[in-house]
Amino acid sequence: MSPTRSIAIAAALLSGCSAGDTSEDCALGNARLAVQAEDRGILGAGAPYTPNSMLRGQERELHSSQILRRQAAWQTIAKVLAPVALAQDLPNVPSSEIPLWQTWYAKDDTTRIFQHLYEGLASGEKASHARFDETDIDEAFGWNATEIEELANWPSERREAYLDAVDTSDKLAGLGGIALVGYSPSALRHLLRGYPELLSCLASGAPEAFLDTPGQSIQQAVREPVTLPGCASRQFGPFYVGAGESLQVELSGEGREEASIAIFGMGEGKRVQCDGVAACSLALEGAVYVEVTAGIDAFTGAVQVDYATPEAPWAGCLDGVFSTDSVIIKAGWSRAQFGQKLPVYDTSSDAIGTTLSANAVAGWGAPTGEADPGPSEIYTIERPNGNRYRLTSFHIMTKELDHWQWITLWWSDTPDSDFGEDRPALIEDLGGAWSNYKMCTATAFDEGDPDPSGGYSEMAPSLAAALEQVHEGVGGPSWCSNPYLEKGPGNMATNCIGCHQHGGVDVLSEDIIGDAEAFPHFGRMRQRNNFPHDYSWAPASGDNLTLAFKAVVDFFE
Amino acid sequence: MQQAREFASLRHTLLPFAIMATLASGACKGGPAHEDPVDAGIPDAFIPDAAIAPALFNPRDDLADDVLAEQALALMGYEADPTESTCEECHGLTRQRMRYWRAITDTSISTCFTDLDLFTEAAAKTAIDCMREEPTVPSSAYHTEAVGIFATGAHLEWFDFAFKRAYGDDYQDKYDTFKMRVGMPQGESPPFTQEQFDIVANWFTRGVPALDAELPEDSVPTECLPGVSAAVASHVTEMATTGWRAVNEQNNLLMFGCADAATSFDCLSTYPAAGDETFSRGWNVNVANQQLRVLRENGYRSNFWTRSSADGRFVANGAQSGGASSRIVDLLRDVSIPGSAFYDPAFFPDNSGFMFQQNQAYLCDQSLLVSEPEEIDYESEANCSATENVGLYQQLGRALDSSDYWAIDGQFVSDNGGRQPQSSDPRASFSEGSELRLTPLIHTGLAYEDLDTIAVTTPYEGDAVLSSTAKMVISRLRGPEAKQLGFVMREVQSTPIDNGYQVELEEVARYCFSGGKPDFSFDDRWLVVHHYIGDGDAVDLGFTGPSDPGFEEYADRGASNIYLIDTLSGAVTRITHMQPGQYALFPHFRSDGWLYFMVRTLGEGTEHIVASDAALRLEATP
Repeated sequence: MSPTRSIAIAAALLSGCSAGDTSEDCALGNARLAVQAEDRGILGAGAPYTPNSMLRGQERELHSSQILRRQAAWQTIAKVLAPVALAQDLPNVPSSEIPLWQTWYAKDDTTRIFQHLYEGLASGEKASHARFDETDIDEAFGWNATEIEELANWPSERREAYLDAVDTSDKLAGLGGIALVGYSPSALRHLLRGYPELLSCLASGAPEAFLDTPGQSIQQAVREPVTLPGCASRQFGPFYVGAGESLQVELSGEGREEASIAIFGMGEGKRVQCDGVAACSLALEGAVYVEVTAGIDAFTGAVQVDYATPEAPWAGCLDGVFSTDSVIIKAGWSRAQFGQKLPVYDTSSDAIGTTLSANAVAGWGAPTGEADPGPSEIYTIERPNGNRYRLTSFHIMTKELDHWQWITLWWSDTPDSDFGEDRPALIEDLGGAWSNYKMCTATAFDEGDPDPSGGYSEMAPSLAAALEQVHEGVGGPSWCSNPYLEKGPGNMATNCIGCHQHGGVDVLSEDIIGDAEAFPHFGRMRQRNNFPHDYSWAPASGDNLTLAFKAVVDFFE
Repeated sequence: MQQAREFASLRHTLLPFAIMATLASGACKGGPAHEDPVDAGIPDAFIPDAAIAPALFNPRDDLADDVLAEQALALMGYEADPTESTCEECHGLTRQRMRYWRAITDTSISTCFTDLDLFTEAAAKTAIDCMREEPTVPSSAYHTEAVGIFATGAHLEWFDFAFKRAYGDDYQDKYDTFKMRVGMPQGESPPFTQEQFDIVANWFTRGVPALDAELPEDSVPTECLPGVSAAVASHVTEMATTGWRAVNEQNNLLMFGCADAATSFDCLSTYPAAGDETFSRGWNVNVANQQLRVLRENGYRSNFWTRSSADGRFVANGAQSGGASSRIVDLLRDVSIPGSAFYDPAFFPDNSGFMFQQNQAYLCDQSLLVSEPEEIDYESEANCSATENVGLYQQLGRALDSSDYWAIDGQFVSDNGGRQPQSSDPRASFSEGSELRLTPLIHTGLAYEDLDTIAVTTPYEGDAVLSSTAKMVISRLRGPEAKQLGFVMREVQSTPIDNGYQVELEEVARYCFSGGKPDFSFDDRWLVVHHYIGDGDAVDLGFTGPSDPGFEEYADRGASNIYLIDTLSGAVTRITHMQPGQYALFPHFRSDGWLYFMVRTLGEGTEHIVASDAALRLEATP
């Protein structure tokens, strides 16, 4: 065998990836190995991510403490990897659970759902690019999860045979597909609702880097279906409300006319009481709670909680910013057949120091070796056709912070050193191969921790030493780069957030990383006061969801 | 043996419990039909007497494929003493002929030998009538092709039983007529014993395994023996629910021109029908209710072949005029996008991307076309990537439910008709050493890598085309004077192994029709091909012959028509009747079964994109 040359079958630039993924590998990925209807029928609708709604209140502390940053990141990882139940029980495997993120949506799901929603619009609504109702999106998510039952080419016998064929843990994991980019339900919901703005920006271009126009930026904190019997109450929160912000609450559904909303801080602080008909708002910095009480009759509907900030529109090419429970992931896979070996990267202090100081522009460079890990050592999946893949790398971006929490994991043959030395028990407790991944994280453009070792000198010395190599002083650019995903020149010296701020802008990731004059520090520093796609590359490159939406819209025009 | 097992499995499918019951009974030794009471599970109402049928042939699972092949061929006369009378006395024992006999045997199994128990007189008559030239006409002659290789057992007990069951005590004359008409071998050659017949029958029903190992390569073919094996029906049945047509439909692929269509037949209804204008008058023929829609008049001349996106929205070809070397027509916007590529476009079956040849192949994401580019410079376009690993005239197929692609190449003959008068199909000058080369492009997780190319010798064949599922490949077959004899279709059996794929190509059909490079429908149910009009077509076109004065203009200016080939039956249907000087070329399917083709007209600088629903109409016809 001579796997000698790489071929671009689909030259899709990747969404959700570090924008600096300029390598051929990054450019060649595609999202067409994603979850099909038969898989979705087993997975069920994407399972929601439960955010830490108070994390945004710790943004300053996270910025100034590498330890807090990493602790928060490990907690996020544990939630994203946590097993959740499938919609259907599988008869031939002991467990019918799959990691949370594998239930999420990829481009295939997105296209199916968008098309279903758009076809449901009246002709006038199509012409005006009307926004989808939240309830219609709810219905579409449900339809997508059960569409298989309507398909003539999937009679019950075939579906049962498909279920029966899942007889190993690898095949179970394979149900989640190997889509490169995945969207949590709330992230996808926001992208679907934002299609009018996405199309508008496609036609007229993204906003300038700096906008002076004052406005009000709305960020959804949560939208949750609720059923309350008559006179019953339910509390939500706490939500962290920043200085100058207010929390807005709105009910939809049956019984809201009789229902009431209370918004209040901790203790005997400020409180506002509203009826359920109109939006209710409270400006109060700190932890804020919401309580919804049904009237005499039951309330059945949804509670939507938003942050409102008086500033330039944050995400001009979307319907505001993503909600706090939005997560976008990017998974890097490697074929586990045909003698394919995994490249091994040394992320120790010595290796990083040598590479960065000698030739940062060149990127991570060649791997230091090869490995052939088995399923017990690396997360491995098998698709129904027998194709086997290993998960080499994994990006997680969560909207629990205004500028997102940026996390990346990579597999290592020495998992307990440097960026894996502080791995907490909650990851070990997940079992499987998850303890063989290392991690770095960023929450800001610049580094705020004055300690180059991140405070790990004693508790995790090899991690401390590695962090020292990437510490450029307080105020200098932060760092987080994955050797399996951040390929190409300069991409070793990136931080995720820097490139992603340009999501939605007509600029290539290789230019961001490679043009030192226009984008200093390999594009790591903040250069905008607004973020057209709220840091997501998905709408305009990679999955290029805007064009996927446009193809549907064009079809019906 | 795996192949044998597959055929055994298939045979069991085709021959429901009948053959199983027979083989399992005590009558499975080739002896006379015994008079044991019948199985209590068989309803009495179906049993006129106590006799049950002897075995048509007895299984020889004890013989390995190569042993079976050797013995069967020896029985038929391969390398026999020339003084002995054998099959070879009349029929050259060539690979082609063996595959032809296998194909007609498969057909006979699925048609005339579906009920081997013959419990009733009616069942026996049905089986016997099936072996006539016209099964619905009891007086029509018996037809050897309908009997397949079982003709070599016409004198054996099962057939005797069948005629006796059908016609009672007076059966002998009818049976003698049958044996005389279809029994093999004819003449003085001694017929097979039951034991000999068992060996031959087992070899053919296993699918003639080890044929290539036992028989030398054929010399330049001088004839084309048409045949479609049961493997084609099995494949088409599977593709009906799992092929790209089904998958794309499952994924709600939005087919161009179908926004307001209740059914596929209602698609493209806003476009003018052929015949609405003078230039397209008379085009629409032979298929009841066929719609031929003229989708666009292109203001440029295309170069070499044309292909379209799976959803039918984009139509791409090289260009000879119009200021660009290639163009992609966006039918939705009614524009053509100029590009720097040269020719040979190909679209992926999942509507995800396309390929175009420049100095090397460029692979582009299809969203590039949705973004409404004013032009495409393939070298600098961010949504395209170059590869040197897909050569000229290569094609890509994508395995279903898989990340892997397959590229195919081999000997080819260029075809760029409609510029000068042309009265024959492209030559088929393929050599004895012609190879069909398959290269797996495996998805490594983030990129594609090519594994070692697997070359299979396919003497005298070329212009190979891979189906969209990468499960079938078809090539043009050379005949004398490098003229084409027909098409040879093979099933691609690929199996992952430690360091790549193991590939076996099994011939499953041979269609004796001449034409350009064909294209598969997305479910492999149909092939579509263009054929240049020659003297041999005059009668089919309604003339008395090539000397008919009405045919003179065709002889002078030439023309070409579009034909559909039914992969299941091999039936060929001409679906156009182009006017002299009009060349219907490069037909190809879109996902839903509509097909597109180009019309070039001698001396004109414009061309037309035309769509037909003929395949949909034919498959809807009982």
